[in-house]
Amino acid sequence: MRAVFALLIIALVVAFAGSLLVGPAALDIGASLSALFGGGTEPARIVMWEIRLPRAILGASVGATLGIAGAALQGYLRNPLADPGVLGISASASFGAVLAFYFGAAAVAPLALPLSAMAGAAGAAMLVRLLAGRDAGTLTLILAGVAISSLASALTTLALNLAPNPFAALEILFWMLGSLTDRSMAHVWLALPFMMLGWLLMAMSARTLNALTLGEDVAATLGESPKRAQLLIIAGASIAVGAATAVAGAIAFVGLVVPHLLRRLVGGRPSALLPASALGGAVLVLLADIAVRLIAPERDIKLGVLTALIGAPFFLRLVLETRRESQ
Amino acid sequence: MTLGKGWFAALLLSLLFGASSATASADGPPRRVVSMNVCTDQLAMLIADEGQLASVSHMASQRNFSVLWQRAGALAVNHGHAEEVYLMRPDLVLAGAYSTRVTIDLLRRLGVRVETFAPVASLDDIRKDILAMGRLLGQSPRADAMVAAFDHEVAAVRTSHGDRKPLAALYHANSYTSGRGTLAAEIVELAALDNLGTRLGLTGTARLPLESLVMNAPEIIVTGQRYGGDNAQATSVLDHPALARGPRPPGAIVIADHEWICGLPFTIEAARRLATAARAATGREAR
Amino acid sequence: MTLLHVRNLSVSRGPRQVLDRITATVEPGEVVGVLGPNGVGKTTLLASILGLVPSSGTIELMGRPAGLIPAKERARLVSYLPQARDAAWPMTAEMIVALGRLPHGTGLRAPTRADSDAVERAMQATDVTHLRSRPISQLSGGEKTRVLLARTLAQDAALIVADEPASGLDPAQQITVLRLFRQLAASGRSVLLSLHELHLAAMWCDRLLLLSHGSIAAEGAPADVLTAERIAEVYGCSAHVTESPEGLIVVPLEQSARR
Repeated sequence: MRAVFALLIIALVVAFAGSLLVGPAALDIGASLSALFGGGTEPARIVMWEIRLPRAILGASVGATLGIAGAALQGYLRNPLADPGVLGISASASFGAVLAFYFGAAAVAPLALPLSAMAGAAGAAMLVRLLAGRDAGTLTLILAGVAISSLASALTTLALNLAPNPFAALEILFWMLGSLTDRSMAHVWLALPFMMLGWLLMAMSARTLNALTLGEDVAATLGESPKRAQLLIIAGASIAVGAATAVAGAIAFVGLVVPHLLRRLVGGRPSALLPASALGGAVLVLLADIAVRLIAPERDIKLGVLTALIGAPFFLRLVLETRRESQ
Repeated sequence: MTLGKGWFAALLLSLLFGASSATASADGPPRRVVSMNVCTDQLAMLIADEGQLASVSHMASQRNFSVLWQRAGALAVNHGHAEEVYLMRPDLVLAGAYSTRVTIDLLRRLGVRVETFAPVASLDDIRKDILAMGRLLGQSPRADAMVAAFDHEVAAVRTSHGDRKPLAALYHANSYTSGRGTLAAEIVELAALDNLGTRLGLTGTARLPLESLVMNAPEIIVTGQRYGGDNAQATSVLDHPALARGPRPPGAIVIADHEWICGLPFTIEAARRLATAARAATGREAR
Repeated sequence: MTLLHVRNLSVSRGPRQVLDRITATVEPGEVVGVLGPNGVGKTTLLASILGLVPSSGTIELMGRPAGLIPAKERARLVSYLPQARDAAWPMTAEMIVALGRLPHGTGLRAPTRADSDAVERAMQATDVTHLRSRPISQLSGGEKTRVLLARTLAQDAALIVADEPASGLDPAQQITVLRLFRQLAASGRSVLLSLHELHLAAMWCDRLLLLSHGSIAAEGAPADVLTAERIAEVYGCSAHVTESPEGLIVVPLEQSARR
């Protein structure tokens, strides 16, 4: 298991470096590195420090957020199909962000953007909890997620249609599929502290998640509080996913794929899966963001398109697996 | 509901009999012209006789989209729906070539004469459009005069060249720029500026990543205006610190989209402003 | 001191009275069986003793009101083996057993010597040491039960509450589990378990509580509780009951008309 973490950390370093080195500006490795450490031309330094570095930091932290949130939600709901995207938490965060962004609140107070997205995410998380109840079956959970996602998407579209800016509706793609294109350090400062707070809250539930492997009753008789874990995870996931979505849009399936890939490698224990999924999510989003720049540099391919292309087949496979198990 | 019924009856009648009472005037200039596109709206407003233009699109009276928005306020408004346009009984409908194809087809099936104008891609297109509009409305002498004045103004901008061509980047919403074969590029070059899109070998309207913009360090950045403050992802890139942190913060010029997206005689105003900026940039260097 | 003392315990679900003023005790070193037909409230009784189901009346553990004992301390006094035998994630048997040490630890720190000893002892007791690195999802039903039982033992609690620990096991496995409970009792710990198998209850328990319609129909030593008349009355079937040198033998025979 130590080897798994070592590999994940190496992969993260490589992917982060890759993200810094790939971009439309034709800077070779030497020029990139020298610009990163204060040498090179002024435009090269600006490209590295103001464009690529924030992009890489956001890629890693948004990915970590989605990975750890997926692992935490799965652990809490005891269901491998839980994920901020599948449960409609990301879509609802988008709706919150859209309200703050297009109706002026974010222009007056920048914090309104992540806070409103967090409120949207929290609303969805609580609604899922309410709809799915204790020990939710897979079907209930997915149906609840589908309903919440559709509602949030419809409200987002409506809000964009009604926005004062006549072109707002064209930006639906960003909010539905996510992108890290041309984000700046301002976005990093706006979102990263919240994401880290969310990680911390979710990590605090790790021990209870282990106990929840054997169900809520056993967890309670082991002296753990499932209620406290629920609070930590709903708050942590809403804060982190809300902040991530506010600056990068809704990116799907990362929270589903990553814990699934890593679960067996870390021995199935939720407490080990949380940090592993954070690392794995960071690697996956960084790689996907490198890929969108390599595949078609002249087009702004949305990040969520790529993660969905990877994630949707996974999702189907998981559905089949759970169906087989329940038979 | 009465409108709906009337429309339905009219549609039925014309589908049955193929003919349309709407296109009554066979010869002579059209007397009831309806325009459905903000560009044809404005061109028609400039060239038509008093009373000849019956209706313009709703965008013509909005200051964000139209230069002649105040004048448009006096005319009846349409929203580009076949139903309302047909019921205005026009003898000529003016439309954009690409945006409302389904509507245009339906109107033509109903026997309405529809003339379309393609988006302009050059100064020469502007001349052609003015002349074409003049012919359609039976106002050719007015159109000829307009073209002569336009040519005069173009020549005036062209003679005001400096000795160096500063690099200028067009930066529209969503990080798009204009390359070869666009009106914007031609206007930038007319103003004695070097257009970055053209220099990079781009054709038409193409994405220009922020990184490439920064690396090419243009002296002048030409952006569109913002709608409703900063509230769009499309224009939020203009707040990116990378743009402000350059060694010579590029001179920013705002030319609202509606000032030059249509091929109208006053598009030359954009060229004039750019030429002034070009002179300022070369002058800055001389000092 | 009485380990567990339940007085006037009542549980209602909506208008329905599931348990009606149950009074019962478990002394140190006792194996106490809870019997009764399906739906009579056995699981509810165990769950309310564990504080998992809201109830009225008093529940005392070692003389203290159970509700006032902090969750972690209570977890060191009472452990629970639920009827459900599922684990959500494919953790290894050893990791599952080690979950029993949660109430003894602080946070996610590395296990102490005492922890690993307790885990080892528990796995030996239920004979699952050879399964230690197998994911629990790959084990058979009997193996799974034994691993989960080991998890309950690793908790080192004075009282083990087990909900139908014998269900789904073959006869040899059932006897292994019940003999283990007897051994625990011999070492001073106590077991409160629900059972369907009357013959096991008769043979292995010190005392029985027979529930009928949410209240106690009979309570006492197996020979006093499991009479043919009472079995017919509560379960609605006739039974053959004999004393033998091995102990009380109860064999249910045939459904009687009067159920």
